[in-house]
Amino acid sequence: MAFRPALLLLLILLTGVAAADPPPDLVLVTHPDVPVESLDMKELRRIYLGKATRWPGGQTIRPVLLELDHVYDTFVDEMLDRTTENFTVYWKRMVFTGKGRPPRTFATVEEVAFYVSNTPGAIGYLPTTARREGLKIVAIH
Amino acid sequence: MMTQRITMSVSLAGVALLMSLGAHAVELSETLYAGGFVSQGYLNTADHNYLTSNTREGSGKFNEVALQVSAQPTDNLRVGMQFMGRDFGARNNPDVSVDWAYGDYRWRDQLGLRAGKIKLPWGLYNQARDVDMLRVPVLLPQAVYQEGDRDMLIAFEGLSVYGSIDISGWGELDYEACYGSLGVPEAGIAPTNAEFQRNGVLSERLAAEAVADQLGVPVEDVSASFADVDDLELSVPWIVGGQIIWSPPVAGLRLGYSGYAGDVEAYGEFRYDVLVDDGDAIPSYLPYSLAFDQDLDFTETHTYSLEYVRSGWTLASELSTTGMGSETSLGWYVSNEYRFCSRWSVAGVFSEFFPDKDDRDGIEQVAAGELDHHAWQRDYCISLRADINEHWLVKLEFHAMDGSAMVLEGGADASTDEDRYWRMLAAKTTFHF
Repeated sequence: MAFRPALLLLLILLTGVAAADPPPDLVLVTHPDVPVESLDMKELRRIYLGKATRWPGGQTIRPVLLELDHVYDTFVDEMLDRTTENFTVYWKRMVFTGKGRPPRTFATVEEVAFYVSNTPGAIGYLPTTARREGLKIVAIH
Repeated sequence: MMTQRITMSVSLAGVALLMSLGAHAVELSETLYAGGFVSQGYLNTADHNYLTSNTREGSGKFNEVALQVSAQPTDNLRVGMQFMGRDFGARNNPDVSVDWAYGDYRWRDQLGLRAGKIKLPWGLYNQARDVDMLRVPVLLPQAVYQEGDRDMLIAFEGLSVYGSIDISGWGELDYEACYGSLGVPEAGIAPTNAEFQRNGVLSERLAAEAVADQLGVPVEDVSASFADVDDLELSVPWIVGGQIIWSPPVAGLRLGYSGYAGDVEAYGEFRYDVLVDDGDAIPSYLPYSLAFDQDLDFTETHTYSLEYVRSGWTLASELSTTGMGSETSLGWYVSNEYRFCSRWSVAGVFSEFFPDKDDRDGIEQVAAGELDHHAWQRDYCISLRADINEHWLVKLEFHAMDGSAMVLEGGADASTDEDRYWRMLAAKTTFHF
C-alpha cells in the first residue's frame, strides 16, 4: 500500500479545491459599462493576478485595491484565496521581472468609488455599507 | 576600483532615492511605475571558499542594487528596464548593467510577444533569483540555482511568446516559449573552465606532435605539459525552449516544466610547457599554445517543479538535469518556508547536487585521482527571516554541507581544502520598495 501516503496527500490538497463562499461584508463593484453581471472566484483571482486583462468584448480590465486594513485583508484572503504577504510577493515578482504592475491602490472608500465609477473597465470592492451611486454591483459566485 | 566606486555611488544613490520616496512603491503616473532594492550580504565558511571571495575569512562581497522602471503607453503594450549592480566576488564585476529591458505586446491573454533582453523563464525562481525579499532563505538551493550559472542563465536576448489559459475545471496553464542567445560574461565561466582543463591535459600529445613537427625532431624527444587555458571565451549563439506551468484546481498548487536546448561554442588557447630532450644536447624548454575552437554540441537542461502555497506555508521541490559535453549533472531540492507571524519566517531546505549523475558515489572521481566527495554536494540549510517593517528585512541562515562538488573551481577564489564536511553561515539585509 505504498500509494497510501500519496492518496493522503491528495486528500489534503483537495480540501483546498472547494471554493469558499464570498465574504458577506464586501461587495464587488464595476464601472456601469462593464458587460458582466457576475464573476466566479477563479475569474476574480485571474483578474487580480494580472492573468485576465480583458472583459468579454475586449475592453481592458482595470482592477483596483482598497487599502483599508480589514477590508483589504478580507478581500485578499477570502476572495483571492491568498495571504496578503503571498499576494505582495506575487506582485513584487512580477514587477522585478518586468511582467506587470500591481493593481492601483486607494486608501479610502470614496477614492475607489470615484475611480471605478469614472473609469471604463474598472473593477473594485467596497464594504457593503458604502454608498454605490454610479457603480454596477457584480455578483460573486 | 573604478567600477566599485560606481557601484557604491549607485547604491548610495539608490538608498537616497528610497529614503526620499519614503520607501513606498512609486506610481509615477497611472502608466508609469518604478521599484527597487538594495541588499548587502555576508558569507562565512569553515574549510572551503564558496560562492564568493575568500569566504573562509568572511566576505561581504555579496550585494545588489536594482532599480526598475516600466511604462504602459497603451493597453496592449508595456515597456520597461531594470538596472542592476551586483558584487559577488570573482563571479561578478560590480558594474551596473541592464538586467532586463524589453517590450511586451499582449495581444490577448492567451497570446503575447516579448522582445529584448528578457528574464529566462527557467524553474520557478530563476527570473526573480536576485530579488531577496521574495523568499526566506538567503540563497536559493545551489543544487538547482547555482551562482556559477547565474550570469549565463539570468536573461536571454531574443523573443518570447507567452500566454495564460483558463482550462475550466482543469485549472490554469501559463506558458512561455523563447528563442535567443545567452551572454556569457568572463567572470561567469570559471566552473566551465574545469571541462577545458581536462581537454587541455588530453591534448598534450597533440601539442608535442606539433612542436616536434615544427622543430623537425622525433616526437619521442618532445613532451608537453599542460599549463593553463588562456583567452577562454564562451558563447551561446542560440537557445530555444520554454516553460509551462499548470495550476490545477487545488488552491496554491503549481506544477512546472522548463526545458531548453542550445549550442555552446568555446574559443581559446591551451598553453603548454614543452620539453625537448634528445638525450645528447642540453634539454630545452619552450612555451607552446594550441588554439581551440570547440563546439560543445547540443546542451540540454530539463527542470521539473512543484510548489504548494497555503496559509503561510510554501512547500517547493525542483529537479534539474543539465547535459554539457560528455556529462550530465543532476540537482534537486525540497524546501519548506513558514511565516508564523507578520514579522518572522523560517525555512528548511535540503538540496543535493551531482556534477555527473552517473557517478554519484565518486567512483570515477577516485579513479581519476580525485577525492570521492568531489562527486556530490549535499546542503542542509535552516533560515530565519525578520521583516523589520514593510520595506526592510534581515536574514540569517546556517548550512551544513557534505561534499564539495560545487567548490572545485578555478580562479582566485578556488578552494584548496579537501574536507568532506563543512559549514557556512550566511546573513543578508535588504531594503526594497
